[in-house]
Amino acid sequence: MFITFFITVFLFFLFIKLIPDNHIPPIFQGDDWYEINRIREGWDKPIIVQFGYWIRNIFRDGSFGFSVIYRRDVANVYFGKIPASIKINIVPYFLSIPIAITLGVIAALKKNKIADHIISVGIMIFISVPYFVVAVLSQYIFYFRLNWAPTHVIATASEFAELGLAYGLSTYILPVVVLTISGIPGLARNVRAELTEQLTQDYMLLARSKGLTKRQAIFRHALKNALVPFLPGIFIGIIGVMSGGIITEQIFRVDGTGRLYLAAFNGRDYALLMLINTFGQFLFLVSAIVGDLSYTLFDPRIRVGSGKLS
Amino acid sequence: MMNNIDKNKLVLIRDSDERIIDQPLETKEIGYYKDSWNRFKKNKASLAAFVIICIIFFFILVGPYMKKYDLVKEDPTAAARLGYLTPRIPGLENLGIFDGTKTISRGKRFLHAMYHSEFGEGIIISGLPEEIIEDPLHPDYANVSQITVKVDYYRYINYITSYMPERYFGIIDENAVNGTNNDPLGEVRQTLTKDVFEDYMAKNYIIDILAIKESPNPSNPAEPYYQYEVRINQFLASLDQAPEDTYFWFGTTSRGGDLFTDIWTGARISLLMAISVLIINTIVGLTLGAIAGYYGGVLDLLFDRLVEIISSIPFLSVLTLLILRYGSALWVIVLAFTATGWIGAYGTGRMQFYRFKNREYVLAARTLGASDGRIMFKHIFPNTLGLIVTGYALAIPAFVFTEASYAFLGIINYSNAVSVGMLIQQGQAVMQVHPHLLIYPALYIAILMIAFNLFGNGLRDAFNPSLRGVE
Amino acid sequence: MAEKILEVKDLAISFKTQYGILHAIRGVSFDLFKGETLAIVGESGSGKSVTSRAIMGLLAGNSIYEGGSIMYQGRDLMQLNEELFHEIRGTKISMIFQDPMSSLNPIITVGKQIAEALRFKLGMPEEMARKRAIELMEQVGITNAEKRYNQYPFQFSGGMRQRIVISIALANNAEILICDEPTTALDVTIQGQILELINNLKKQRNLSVIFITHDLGVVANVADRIAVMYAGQIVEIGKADEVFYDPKHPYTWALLSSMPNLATSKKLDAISGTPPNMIYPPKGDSFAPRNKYAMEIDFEEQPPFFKVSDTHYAATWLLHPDAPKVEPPLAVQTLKKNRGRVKK
Repeated sequence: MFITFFITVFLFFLFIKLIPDNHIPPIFQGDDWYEINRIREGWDKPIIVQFGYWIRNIFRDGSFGFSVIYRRDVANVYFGKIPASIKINIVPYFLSIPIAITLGVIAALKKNKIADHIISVGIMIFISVPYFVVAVLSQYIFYFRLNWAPTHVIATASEFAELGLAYGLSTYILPVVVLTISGIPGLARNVRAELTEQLTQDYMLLARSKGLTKRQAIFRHALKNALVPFLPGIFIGIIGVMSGGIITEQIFRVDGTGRLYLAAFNGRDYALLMLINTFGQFLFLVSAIVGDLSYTLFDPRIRVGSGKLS
Repeated sequence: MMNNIDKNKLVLIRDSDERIIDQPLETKEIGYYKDSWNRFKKNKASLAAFVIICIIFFFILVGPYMKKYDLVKEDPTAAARLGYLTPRIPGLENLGIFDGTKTISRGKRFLHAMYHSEFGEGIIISGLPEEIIEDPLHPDYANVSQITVKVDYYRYINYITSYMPERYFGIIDENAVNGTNNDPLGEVRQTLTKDVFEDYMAKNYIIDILAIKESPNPSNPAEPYYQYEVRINQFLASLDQAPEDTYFWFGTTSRGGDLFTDIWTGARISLLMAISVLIINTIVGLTLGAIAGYYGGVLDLLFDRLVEIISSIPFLSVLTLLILRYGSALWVIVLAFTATGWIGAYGTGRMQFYRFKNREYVLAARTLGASDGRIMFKHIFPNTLGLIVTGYALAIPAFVFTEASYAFLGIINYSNAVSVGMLIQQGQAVMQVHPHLLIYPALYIAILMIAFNLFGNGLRDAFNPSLRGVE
Repeated sequence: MAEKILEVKDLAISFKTQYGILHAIRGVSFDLFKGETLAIVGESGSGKSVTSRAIMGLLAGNSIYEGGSIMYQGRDLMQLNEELFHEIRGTKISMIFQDPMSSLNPIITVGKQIAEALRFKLGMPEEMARKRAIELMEQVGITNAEKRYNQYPFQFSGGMRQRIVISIALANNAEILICDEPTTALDVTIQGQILELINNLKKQRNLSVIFITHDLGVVANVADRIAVMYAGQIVEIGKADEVFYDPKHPYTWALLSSMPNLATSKKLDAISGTPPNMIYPPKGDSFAPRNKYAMEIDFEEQPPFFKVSDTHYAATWLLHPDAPKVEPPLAVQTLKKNRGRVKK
């Protein structure tokens, strides 16, 4: 896993360095800009060495490179935007999970009845239609047509100060709702499928025949078994809250890490891109580890492993 | 009860040594494909989705040709004047929808002038109060600067681009305040030479003549140059038809392009790209998968590592890096998708080849004497075909989804082609004033995606009944 | 005189399937006496499992009740609503199933699964339930019960798991135990152990057992009475001795003939043909198409039960006074002859 991480990061680096306009100095920088960076990052040395320099700079100075659009260290820029992303992502994430599970459970229990059909149709629609379409349409409908939302973007810090906390929070309602809704169908669909599967298992029969009521059997056995496969995923998802959705941030004007990516892309800020990609890979690595760990935590078969059979 | 039976029937009908033969099966054997098709038909939702997809495909094929409209290419400035028109469909317009009208708010004097002018007659459909019709400066509306009215938008646009600009009265006021001398009719004043003038006159493009300017001709003083300052009916000039006869089914874009055509052109491009990506993915993936599955061993392990590395790279990174390096051409996008996309087909190919080697029913068929080719065709292939077709049906919407999302964000930005994602982005920018630019592309994508997903699900259930119940 | 503890009368149950209505049970009647083991024998599809599910009230959602009754403690179980039924399950009537691996929940410790029965039915506090569960585990022959209480099903062998299932079933001291092919999924050597366990428990607790199986060899070991089922009906019922050594129904003959017999080297006498499709139940005697001894009447009228003795009945026209006399096949006669020499 670590090797994969290392190799992918190096591949990023390599590819970026190969892009022709890599070392063009930005405007308004002095002539010595090139020199300074050349020494610091080793621009005239082979790429592998440059990679070494980059890593050294990280551990020695805590510096990830110089952002050409923001004129400071990219780490500074990037990590500064994380709180904004977290602010917009965290509530939807924690809201969507219980709602999705509830819907999935209802759909599985009332299979093929009206409730299931409605939920399934809803899931189908929201899983198919691209997220940005949903977001933009809801902006249009709820702000421009129905005037339910105060404005179609979230409030900036200054607006919070001027117009008060209540106003500021109310601007968050629409994006949070949209984000929550987008997170629900995937999990709901999986829960529904898994629970349906578990309900037909033999141990449910034994549970009922030992005298548990239907409800007791469902909640103490089927549901527990059905949810276990999803718990690692949920843990991993928490990590994802930090790197915001680019689309959300673009549409609702959130000043977070996603938007930063777009800015870096449009402004050809390679140092920033390098950091964002690397950090993304790093998060991926952490998630993989967390995922593995949580499996051992939740599934006794893996935890106890090769217990002695007798 | 015992007494009611016919005692004569109490006779054995079989010899004790007679062997009882199994009766032949009474049902007919159905082939795998026919069986799957039956299952598919039963799923009403998928069938409906299939029909919808066919309709969409029809439009993709035929749509861009349905309206002959090349103005954007031929004369962008003229086309730009026709921008932002509202949707209008013949026939449906009589029902009150798609009737090319729009609700706008403009200044009192402007509306008043338009109401009473010959060229602007009838443009305003409703909303202009009687008082203003009489007197634009009526005291009842003294504190209201703009009136909201419903207009025939096509004729309205023609009016403001041909006859009187919206800023007309604004410019007059400015002139009064600042002492400047800007021409309030500046936007609509066109200057023509005599030849063009006569040509236009013949074609009836001219609305009226504002002035004729004479300038001396050095070579022939008797015949001075004439310049005609006129107002031209823009619709007639650009399209050769009056606004009343012009129909843009979904309205026009900011540059004056027909939204209907643009949507289907964009759809066509994304579909072609999707198919190319799929084909490339399949070829590359299956080949590599077959090799890995067949030879196994070290090669297989190496491939595994490679796949692991590639799949840990997020698609966004690949896409952005490639675009930064090579620009935003169509082939770059296709490359980006295939760079990580072949892994799916690789997995399938490899799996199928492993199965080919070891499967019990393959062994059984071999035992019965089937040749390799027959085995592959009759046994492995149906399984694979089902997987492949379902995979395709679900891969196309996945591609459209991703491509549209990134086009929306502006990461994918074709210079000479249009993507529906881009259309939506443009629509979003002006959604308050020109909602049609947002709604129709958005609806198109939504319907396409839902239909494809339903269809794909139906296919998967039809080919693989054991998965029924899992969405 | 033994008392009747369960009385099934003319039970008929069908299932709604996508191909039509499946008539699974078509008029089944039998009694269960206190302290006895009644074996229900039949091929797959004969309806034996459905019968047991009906008694437990655990029929699938697409089941249709077509008639009949199951009388227990003065109440008709078929008319009971779910609330009342769930009080009976586990405490009065219990069931164990074929595959112990899938019967147990893989992610919950076995101890908890046993204790669950105690806590939820009797309201036992946790610690007490734990102690009792460990006792139960020891009763069914699991050594080191205290430690193994916290282990998971996959840490046990097949036979051990079945013992756990049995302890769950008997945790609340049910008086009727239904065993649905409990040994089919186990190795032959373990089979014997489990059968012995069931027998012992039956004696200790004075259980009444319904034992469902398709394996006549197993039946020989456990049954007091035997009911033979075919195509949703009971075709012969009687004391174990009677059915084994004096069977009257051609199907029973066929079953007994098809038992592999290590003693002789005769050819296996398989029953040709397949059971009928119960969506279109045959008119007349359902076994007729495969019956070597079929008569014309078998294809037209269903035979009623003919009395062979007070405890022995068979539904075959061959027992009609006017029917031709037929000798049972060789294998059956041999069995009878070897009766005294067969150790039970």
